[in-house]
Amino acid sequence: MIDAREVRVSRGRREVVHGVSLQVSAGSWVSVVGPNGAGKSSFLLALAGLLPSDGDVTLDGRTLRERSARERARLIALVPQQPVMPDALTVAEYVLLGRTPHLSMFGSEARSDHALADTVLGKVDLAWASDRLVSTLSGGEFHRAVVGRALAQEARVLLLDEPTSGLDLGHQVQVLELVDTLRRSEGITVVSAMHDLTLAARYSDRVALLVEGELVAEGAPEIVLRADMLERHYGVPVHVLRGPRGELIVVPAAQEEARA
Amino acid sequence: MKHASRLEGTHLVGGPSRPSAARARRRAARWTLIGLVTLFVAVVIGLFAGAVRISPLGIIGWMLGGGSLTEQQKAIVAELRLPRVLLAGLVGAALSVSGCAYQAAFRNPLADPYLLGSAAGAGLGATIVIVLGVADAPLALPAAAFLGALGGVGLAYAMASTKAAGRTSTSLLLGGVAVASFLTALQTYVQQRNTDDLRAVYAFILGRLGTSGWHEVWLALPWVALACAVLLASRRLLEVLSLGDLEAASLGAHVARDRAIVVIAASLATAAAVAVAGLIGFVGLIVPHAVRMATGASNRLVVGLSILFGAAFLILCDVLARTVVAPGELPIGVITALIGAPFFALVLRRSGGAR
Repeated sequence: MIDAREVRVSRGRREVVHGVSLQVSAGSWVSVVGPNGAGKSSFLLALAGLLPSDGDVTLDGRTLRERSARERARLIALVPQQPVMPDALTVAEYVLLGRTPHLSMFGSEARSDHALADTVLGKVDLAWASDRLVSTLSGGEFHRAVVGRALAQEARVLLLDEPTSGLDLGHQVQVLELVDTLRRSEGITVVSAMHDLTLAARYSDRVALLVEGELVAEGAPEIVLRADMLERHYGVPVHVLRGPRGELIVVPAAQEEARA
Repeated sequence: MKHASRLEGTHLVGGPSRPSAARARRRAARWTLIGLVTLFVAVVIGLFAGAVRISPLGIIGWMLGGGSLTEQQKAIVAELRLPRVLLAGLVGAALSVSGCAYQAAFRNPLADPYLLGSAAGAGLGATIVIVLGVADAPLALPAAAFLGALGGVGLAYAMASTKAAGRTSTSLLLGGVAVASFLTALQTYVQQRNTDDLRAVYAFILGRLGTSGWHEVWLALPWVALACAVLLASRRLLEVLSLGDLEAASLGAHVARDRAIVVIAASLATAAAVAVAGLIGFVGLIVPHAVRMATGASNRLVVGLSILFGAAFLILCDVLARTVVAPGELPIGVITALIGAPFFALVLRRSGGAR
């Protein structure tokens, strides 16, 4: 579905992603993990064509370069790390902005766009809040509204940039569960940049470990998220444990233990 | 907001019959009606105010095409008061809608044609044309004011967009203040070198509607109408831009192009206003914010309402300007500044400063 080849991204004069190639099959969830400054966000934004990059990102057989911005936005939706909280938009109006790539520049929404936005509000469980101002939502509700806006784009690829940053444990799981449910029901492909390795392991089919702009490992979570690999790249000792249902749990080891 | 508690827990999952869209439409219709009525009342008051007493009912009758005015009264209303009221309305609409557009395009609640340097640029352009003696050439005045306005706001934006300036809203305003001072200084210099035209030019600095006739109305009308039409058509775009560059781009918007369209249209409106009425400050700040506070609405509605309420606001300010020290007249810029500066403080408090 997504075929990224030799993607290079520079920010200012510094190259922060050095030729990363990644394939993502349709309907799967791939998480890009790595220490701070590894280039996760830059790589993700390059996948969406939102940062100038070298290399090619092919989507459904055509490169992003060959597509217009509107066309790209109909294929790929982004849930940014820190979405801008607009001042005076209601939740319904906010979600409706997701229809932008389907409208002409000076066009306005048709009946069908409103209907779709209302359906989306139901899916992200915000139908009750449709007339409330976005700025009055809680952090978790706002994140769901952002996911709703992305769904209203009707894109088949959803990019999540640190979707759980700033959320408490309950809301983290809520947002990721929502995305996972939608992925299964709508057949959406998800690529996420994630800090939390345990959550990455829990939701992703595959994990890509990015370190200083290079892809150092890519594969199933249990293959990439190994203690020795993580210790080497994160610079701290970690335990990779198994939960009661066999799920991976990644935690830092206690420091005394590490020195011994 | 009010409906939230009633709807809470109703969970209309699936396809509710577009309740929010219908409510949004009703709200827009209600506020548009209020705006039109306010504007109508302001026009009647504007036509009523003056040394010669003419009954408001007679004026309304005249406006509706009939009435009991004498020929002399008709001449006063049609030839003296009407062009002035229309011009005040045009200028108020232009400054308000451009303030609203600048605020959205730069995502800065304190943006205003006056503070961004675009009005000062327009003033400089107009002054140069006046002292060169070519102000009567067709299009010379609006064109020079337009180029000056674009130059002013462009300069402020360029200063604020350097990496060192941090690309923040505060640096945009600081850049605008610096540009405005610089261009105003240039304007003063040009004007002092040409003292013959001093009176004509001086009127620019404080703003004036007093010398206006139909000529100014026809000069401003096409440009104000064009700018308003473009900005009304861009209402959705303004909402998209309000999400910031990254998110707007992720929705398929061409951020630089779209912002340029909005800024050019806003500068055109500013230039048209400055070319006929001089520098009238704070209107672009007061009106959109007052509309936002009253309606709680987003830019989609605020753009259109700024046009209606902006026109009404400046017509009423002009009534004050020509009545409080009658038979003398205050420059209208004095009235708007007296209202505007405290209002600026209020917006500053409410918005938590320029973020």
